[in-house]
Amino acid sequence: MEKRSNEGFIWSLFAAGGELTALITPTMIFITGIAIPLGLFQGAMSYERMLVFLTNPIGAIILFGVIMLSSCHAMHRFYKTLFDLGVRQGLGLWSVLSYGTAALATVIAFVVLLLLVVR
Amino acid sequence: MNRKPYIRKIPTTWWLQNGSYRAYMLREFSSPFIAIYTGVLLVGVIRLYQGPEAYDAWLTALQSPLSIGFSVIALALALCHSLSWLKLLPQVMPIQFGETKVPQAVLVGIHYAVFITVLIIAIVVIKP
Repeated sequence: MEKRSNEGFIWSLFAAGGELTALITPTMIFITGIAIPLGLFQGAMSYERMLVFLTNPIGAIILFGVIMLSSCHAMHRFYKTLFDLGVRQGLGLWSVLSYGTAALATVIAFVVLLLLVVR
Repeated sequence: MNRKPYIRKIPTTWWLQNGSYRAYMLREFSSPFIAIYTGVLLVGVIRLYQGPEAYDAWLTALQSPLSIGFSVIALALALCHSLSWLKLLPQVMPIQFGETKVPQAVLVGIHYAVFITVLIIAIVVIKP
């Protein structure tokens, strides 16, 4: 049997992640990385509020989706960019590192969010 | 016969040659920043699980100049990515109903509308 490529599966995660990254990541970086630290929305990300948000299954699923898709997207793109920059040695190791990081982030996000929801 | 494949040497700086290559690379450089940002979010979730003190320490860390500087660069690169993604999406994924193709300008317009809506909803929801 012909060996089937896994590109299709990776590509679908990449495309979904790209769409999500394009539409919501700038907003998220602005709010969590700039507005909140500069005190723009006082108390908006307080412990109590975020606990309510993430112990709710819907909130947890949303954040899980964001972490899974944006890490898959970013690490796929990172791996392809290494190739573009002329990296030809040790590509196997780089792909394990790139996709492994995305997979690890996805698993950790799943476990911690599940623990938050069930407690 | 097993011959060594010929691999053409490409200088690492090939993308500095012209404007569209530079724009391409600028967008691609967003990926490590978005990956790191996602990692920061993930740490925030773990800190939230650990309790109020751990979570507040994470919030304080976000206020460091290093973190804010990182976020500004990440935001600029993420916007580069968004703009080019929204521009090329209708070409990659054209939508048509029967014989009629949805004009590209409409698809791009819908995406911009979603982008703005997300921003507005996020600000409305997050406002305490």
